[in-house]
Amino acid sequence: MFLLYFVIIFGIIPLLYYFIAKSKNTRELKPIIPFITLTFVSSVYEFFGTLVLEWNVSYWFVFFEVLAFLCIYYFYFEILQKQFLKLFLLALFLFLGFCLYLSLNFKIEDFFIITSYIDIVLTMFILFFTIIWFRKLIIDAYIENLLDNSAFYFISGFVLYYCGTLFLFLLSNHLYKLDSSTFQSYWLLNILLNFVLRTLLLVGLWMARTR
Amino acid sequence: MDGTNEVKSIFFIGTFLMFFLALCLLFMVLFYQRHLTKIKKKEAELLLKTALKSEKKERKRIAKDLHDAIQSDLNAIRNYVLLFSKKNRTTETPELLEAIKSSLEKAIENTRLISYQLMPPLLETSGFNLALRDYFEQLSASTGKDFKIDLNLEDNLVSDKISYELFRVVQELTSNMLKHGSITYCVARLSCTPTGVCFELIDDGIPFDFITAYRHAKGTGLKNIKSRLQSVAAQLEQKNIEKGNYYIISLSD
Repeated sequence: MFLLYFVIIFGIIPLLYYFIAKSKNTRELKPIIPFITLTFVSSVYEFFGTLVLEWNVSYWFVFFEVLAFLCIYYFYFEILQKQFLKLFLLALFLFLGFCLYLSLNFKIEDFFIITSYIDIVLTMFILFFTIIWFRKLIIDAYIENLLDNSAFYFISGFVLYYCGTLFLFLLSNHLYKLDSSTFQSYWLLNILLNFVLRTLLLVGLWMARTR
Repeated sequence: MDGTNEVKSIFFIGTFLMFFLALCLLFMVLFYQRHLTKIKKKEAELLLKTALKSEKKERKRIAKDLHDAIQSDLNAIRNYVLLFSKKNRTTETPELLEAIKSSLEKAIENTRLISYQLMPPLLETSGFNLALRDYFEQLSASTGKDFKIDLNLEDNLVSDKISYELFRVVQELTSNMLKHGSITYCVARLSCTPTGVCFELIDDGIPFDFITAYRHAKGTGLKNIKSRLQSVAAQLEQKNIEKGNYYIISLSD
């Protein structure tokens, strides 16, 4: 439980750090601002709404996944410097179409299934555009050292978190139905990878500031 | 029960595989990008070396042409003018002849100087030490500043391979001292160190931070110094002294 509280509170730090240690490289950090804002909002909501007031998490889960997709979409759209516009438009239309399909065919009670489907799309989107970013990086060779580049840390965070939790979200409905009492131990993976993601967000922000 | 185990197995294996693939992707890109940067750096170094080499070759050719062709022609013209003035002592325009002679003298001297600066002949025939001594003597004579060398002329510490680049760096630094440094004296030292050779250049002029100036440099002078040193794997350091500047150039074996 301590880890859960810690990771939730840890989520507010990236945005706070961004404002406190306002970087000179604001242009470099512009793509990640929506995502760190979403992380901040989700931390506050999860702390008060889910843990303190014990509100129903189903709407929040679905809403968060959609917002996460849009924030990550914006991130890749910005770091790829608005190239691949057709691919981005196609991805957006596919996602919106998929959301429409989910809203017509599933009820909010099936939020585990809905989020797992959105998560698959999101993971594929991240992997696809990460490979495009790496390819562009290798062809253009405009970054001397990747470890000095903040975007690399943000992308690493996304790739590790979404790849690591893909099967958890995909099977969460089954795992919950099989044994709801041990579900929390599986959920620990989500908490741990959330910690990794938030740490990498923080490292990326710190990198942009120190450079 | 079987279903439970199956779901659990899929969860563990799937998660492990996905996480492992994600890590592999990140590490692979990281290492490949580093490798690529190294190759590109090497390519750039090679290009720089080739450019400097061809520049040296071209300088040599121009210096030779200036010396052999233009200077010889100018000397011949000077002799004709002398002959003409001797044969026509009654000429009504002696001032004009004098003006022609003095212009010719100036042109010959300038061509000689340009030819020397393009490729100091002593550098190839007698090595870095003697070429530097000669250069400093000329600088002292032409500027009135005290240019001294503190090195054993017989010790040939600087190899032929790097003497040209080092000489050009010294030329660039001394011309900067004269242009912007308001110096009264300059000393050059050359010594042996366990790792190679150490060349020191000390002046009493206006303090100048090479690194900061290099970052904001708009011209090519400082960039030339940096690329020439880079091409011979030499390091430039600056020591803080009370007055003036202290440059240390470390040359590895």
